[in-house]
Amino acid sequence: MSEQIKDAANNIIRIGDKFEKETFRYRKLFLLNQILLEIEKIENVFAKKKEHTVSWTERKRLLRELRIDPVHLEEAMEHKDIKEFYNGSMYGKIANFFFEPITKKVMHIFPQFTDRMHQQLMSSGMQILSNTYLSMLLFTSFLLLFVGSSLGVVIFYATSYAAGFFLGFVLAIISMLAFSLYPVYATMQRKKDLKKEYPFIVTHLAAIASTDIRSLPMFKALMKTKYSKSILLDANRVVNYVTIFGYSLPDSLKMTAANVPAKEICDLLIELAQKIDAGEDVKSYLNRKARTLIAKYRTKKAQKVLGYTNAYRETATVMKQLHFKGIYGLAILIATSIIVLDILYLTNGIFLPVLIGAVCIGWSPVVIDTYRSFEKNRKMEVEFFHFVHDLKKTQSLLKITKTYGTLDHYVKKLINQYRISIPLEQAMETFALDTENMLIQGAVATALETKKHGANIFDALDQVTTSKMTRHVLILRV
Amino acid sequence: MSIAVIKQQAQAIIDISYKENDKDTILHLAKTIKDKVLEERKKYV
Repeated sequence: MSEQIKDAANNIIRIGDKFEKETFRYRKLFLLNQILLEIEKIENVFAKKKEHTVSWTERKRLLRELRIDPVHLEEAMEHKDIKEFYNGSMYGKIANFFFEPITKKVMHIFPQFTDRMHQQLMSSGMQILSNTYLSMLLFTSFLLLFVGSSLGVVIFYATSYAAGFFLGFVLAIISMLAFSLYPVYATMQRKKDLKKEYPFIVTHLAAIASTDIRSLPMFKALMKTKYSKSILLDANRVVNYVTIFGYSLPDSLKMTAANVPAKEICDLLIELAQKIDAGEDVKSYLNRKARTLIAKYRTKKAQKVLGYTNAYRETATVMKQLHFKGIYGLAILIATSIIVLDILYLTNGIFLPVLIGAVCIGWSPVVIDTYRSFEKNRKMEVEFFHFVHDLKKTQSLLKITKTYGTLDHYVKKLINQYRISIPLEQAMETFALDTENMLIQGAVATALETKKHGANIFDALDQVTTSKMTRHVLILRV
Repeated sequence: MSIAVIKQQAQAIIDISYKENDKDTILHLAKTIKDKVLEERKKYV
């Protein structure tokens, strides 16, 4: 006992020494907090009560009586700790180390500018504190001023030193403008994304609400969707406002709406808040809204351009899922060799056709793999759609007798896992991971989240998959 | 300077825990340090 006290007291002295040498205000505050933690340790030594323990036989009897699986109990105890939290970037930390005092002064002198920047950062969804961002702006400009000036002096030493200094100055101004305008650009991108996904976000929410999940769990389930990353951020904000800050759900929705760049989503959140406040039926409201929006989207879809843009975006998403293979490297190597030989030896007449041919060779394995993945995903999703329909009808995995083409292998594995008493949740998670398909993973994750809040997993799976398939069919039908 | 006093009191805690392990005195010293730290903290918040 006395060893713990001595350690804590020694730590206090050590921290005190550091405190005396420290000049930064926020570091001093951090060190004082450290001392408070050490004091808490000393107090805990005496406050510790004798823990009530049970014998091994009694524990076994209790587990059997209460029907608790010891492995599950251990897992549940482990999950009590929060393992993930926000961590700042290294560059941000360095910028703060050098420029935090100046940043604070700038924030004090130009409150309107910093408020606007804070607002833009919140809307853009960038996970960074406004003072860290401002420190990064100042630090980068400062670096570029010196690096640019030095380079400029070396480059223009024959003509004029002033031109060299001017280069550094111009680079610093450009970096300041880039840092100031980037949140505006990010906000615009997010707004575009949210507007594009709006009908499907409502359809997805309606599907979740159809499984008799209401209020907060609805947003927790929305967080599990694999599509539209922009809405994940807002769903996360709503959940954090309620669970961490303790606001009511309608207030959280209104506060989140204040920082959403897309007017449609903002209106949706406010309307949802009003419905929940008034105790009205959210399910029928969302269903009505989803039907209207999908009908509108179908009319809009008549414009072919939208279809081609969507197809391009979906192809890009599939390409991102590809893993690098040896054949890609070989194709790139061959293409690069042809291009180099083309540049060195070939004349003007066949230069361009050979160049185009080399680029085609370089890209061909990626294009072929993208097409294959696209086809495989499409087939798998159709089979999954049939599978969840059958599950909804039978309400049991063990009653599934049909075969499901490309998905059959995974379905059989799922059923076998369930048969050997692996919990349904765990088996479903493995199934989703095995398929490597975003739609299936998103649908399973959302359905499992709704199950945690009392929904029927098979009904939820069917509803969510239908909403996701609606999105897929509408987006990819050119 | 309160941080110097805090260090002295922490040293006192070490001395007491070596000699007699007096629970009340240690807790009293810990509480005094805590109050001083909280007072000092106000300057930096």
